[in-house]
Amino acid sequence: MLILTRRVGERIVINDEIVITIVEAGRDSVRIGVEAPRSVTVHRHEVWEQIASENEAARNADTTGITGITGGDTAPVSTSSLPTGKRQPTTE
Amino acid sequence: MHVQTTRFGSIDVDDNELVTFEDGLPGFPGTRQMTLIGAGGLPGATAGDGHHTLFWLQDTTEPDLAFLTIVPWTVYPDYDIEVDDTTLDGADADDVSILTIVTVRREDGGVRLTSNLLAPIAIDVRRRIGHQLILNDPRWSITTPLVDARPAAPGDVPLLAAEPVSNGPS
Repeated sequence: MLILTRRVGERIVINDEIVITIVEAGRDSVRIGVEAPRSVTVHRHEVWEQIASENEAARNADTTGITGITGGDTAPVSTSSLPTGKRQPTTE
Repeated sequence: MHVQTTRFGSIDVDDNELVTFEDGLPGFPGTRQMTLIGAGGLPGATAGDGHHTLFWLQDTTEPDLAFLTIVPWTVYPDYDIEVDDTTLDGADADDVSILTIVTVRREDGGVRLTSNLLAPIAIDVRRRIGHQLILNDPRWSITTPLVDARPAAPGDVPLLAAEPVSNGPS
């Protein structure tokens, strides 16, 4: 792991397109600003971990006895049967 | 190709209908190819076009890796996420479909259904590329209660009151 020392207001540039700014430094925490292209995903690591743990909980759900959910008598469907873009209802 | 599954047995899948998750999903790393299997719909959920509103996303290499997903607007009419051309690596927004994963928790006396609105699955139906997004929007919870007052049917297990399930600090 690359470890750098930075002062408040100083920055780090990653791959010429991601700029990280140290906004504020306290005793136990720092505030960090991230400027990145929209295609770059940035999130707190603990959120990622919660989602990984929820995915594990959702894996292979037991749907026995829940009306409407078919468990084993259906076949693969085409992705074209998914609602997309403008076919998705909006709240407007 | 033939796909072995725990839930559906051995199934035949059209190779041209596989959805590739290049980055896997959080907790399930590596490139994954998934197939979509229609799973019906919950009573009371509006289907539209007579389509399924629930789908299984079944992994093609791990028989017991399948996720139940729902077309979120059929049960969460207020769910609005911004889908644009940056949502999925340059996919045309009109080609992007959004599904959210459903978690079924068996508890004493019934089941609790929630859906992960914070991390929806986006699928480019034209290129068949999938990705689990992580939204930065405090309105959406990882464990959003799913369906409250469904009519009970004979043989149904009781659905527990749909209150948020604790999933650690949020």
